Amino acid sequence: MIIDQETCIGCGECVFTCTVRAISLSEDKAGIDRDRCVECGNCLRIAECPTGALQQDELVYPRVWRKYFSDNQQQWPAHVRFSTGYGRGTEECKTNDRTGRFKKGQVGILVELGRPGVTASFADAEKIVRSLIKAGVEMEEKSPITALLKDKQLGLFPEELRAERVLSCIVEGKVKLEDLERTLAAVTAASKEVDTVFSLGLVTRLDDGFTSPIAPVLDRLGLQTRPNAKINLGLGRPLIED
Amino acid sequence: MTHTLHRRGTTDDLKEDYVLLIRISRGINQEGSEEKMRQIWEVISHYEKDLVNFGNHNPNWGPGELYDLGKLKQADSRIIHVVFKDRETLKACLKEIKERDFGISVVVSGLYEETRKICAEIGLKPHTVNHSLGSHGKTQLLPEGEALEIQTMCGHAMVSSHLIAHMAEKIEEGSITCKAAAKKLSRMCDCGIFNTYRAEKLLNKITSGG
Repeated sequence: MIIDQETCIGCGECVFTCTVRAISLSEDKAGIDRDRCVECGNCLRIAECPTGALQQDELVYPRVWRKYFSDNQQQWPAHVRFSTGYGRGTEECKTNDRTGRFKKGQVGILVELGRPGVTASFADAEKIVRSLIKAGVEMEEKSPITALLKDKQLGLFPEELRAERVLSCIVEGKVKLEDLERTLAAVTAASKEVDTVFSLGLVTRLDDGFTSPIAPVLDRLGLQTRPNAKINLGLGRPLIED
Repeated sequence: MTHTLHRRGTTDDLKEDYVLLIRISRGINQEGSEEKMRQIWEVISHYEKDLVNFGNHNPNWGPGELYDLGKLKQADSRIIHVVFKDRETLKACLKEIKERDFGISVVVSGLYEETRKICAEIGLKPHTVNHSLGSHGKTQLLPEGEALEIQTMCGHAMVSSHLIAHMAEKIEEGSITCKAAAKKLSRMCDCGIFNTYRAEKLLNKITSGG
């Protein structure tokens, strides 16, 4: 985003709409901290700039990836359009009854970095990806983050992408249930290395509809799940049973 | 996005915050699904007076479908989002969706134990669960208390913490009500998953009301 200093009247309408507090008023003009701006587009849609001073500039690589990850009204490019084409680009458990993405005996690992409002760099995401790969996690192929890796064995992003910041991004993979404990230890270690915040989600098939096979592992580690969860009710047809 | 998974709040708060997510599977049951999705919107409309919010993220800014159930019932939806503030309405809606057997994936995002009970009561056998293990890393960078609860009600983090603080100031000044402020915040959430009913209560809690 840019703000044309000639036409800005300093009304301040855009300041409060910024998801990352990158816009501020100085000497009766609004200005954008371009390093902090993640190109989410909220200001443009919500503030309704009265003079048109607030504008979306043409974004090129690597900065354009800020927009893909941060603006959920921005469609993903075709080569990374794995889910609905909008949002953060991951499918996780939402259609697992139809896709069988996570099977019995597997646990999905979803690490969402930067949310809410803190932001994350690809360098942060790389630390999580590398620690998960070292712990033996199978990275989800149909995920924008995995698709952007330059080196999928080592979990490295292209050098020029590392400093780019996004509103949030999701690292997604899966492990065998017996490897969950080791994976959670790796996530705990990585949490001390990242320069941002992340939310952790664990996906599991339910035995007999109601029993969570990961509960004993979490109990053993003294970890508690939050009271709310996302539950796929198994109404998709034909139903994946395995 | 893990979207609705990491909504913050106590168990009591979350009793008034269930999100129903219905979506087609890309490349699997996409064909002919538009008509089924329209039929599901029709079912949802039976509960309109008790719904808090809804949307389809088509995206919503062009066709103006957000908040307009009439338009949503005509739209080609790939996704359906509905926010409920009570388990009984959710249960009745789920029961009807189950009986119609649309074959489309349905997810409830909300209290795990309560949702399991609802499923048992209407004869559903949940397939998969995504559990939240909360926030990690530099958690000191997060907003605190009610502000975090409000902010996490948009799963794409589009609700600005700056606007939440600004709305709280305006409520204190008496220039906006908590209800109107909640609606203003909700406009940032394109998916229609922001719970304005809960946000109004939270804004009331952090201010002297409005």
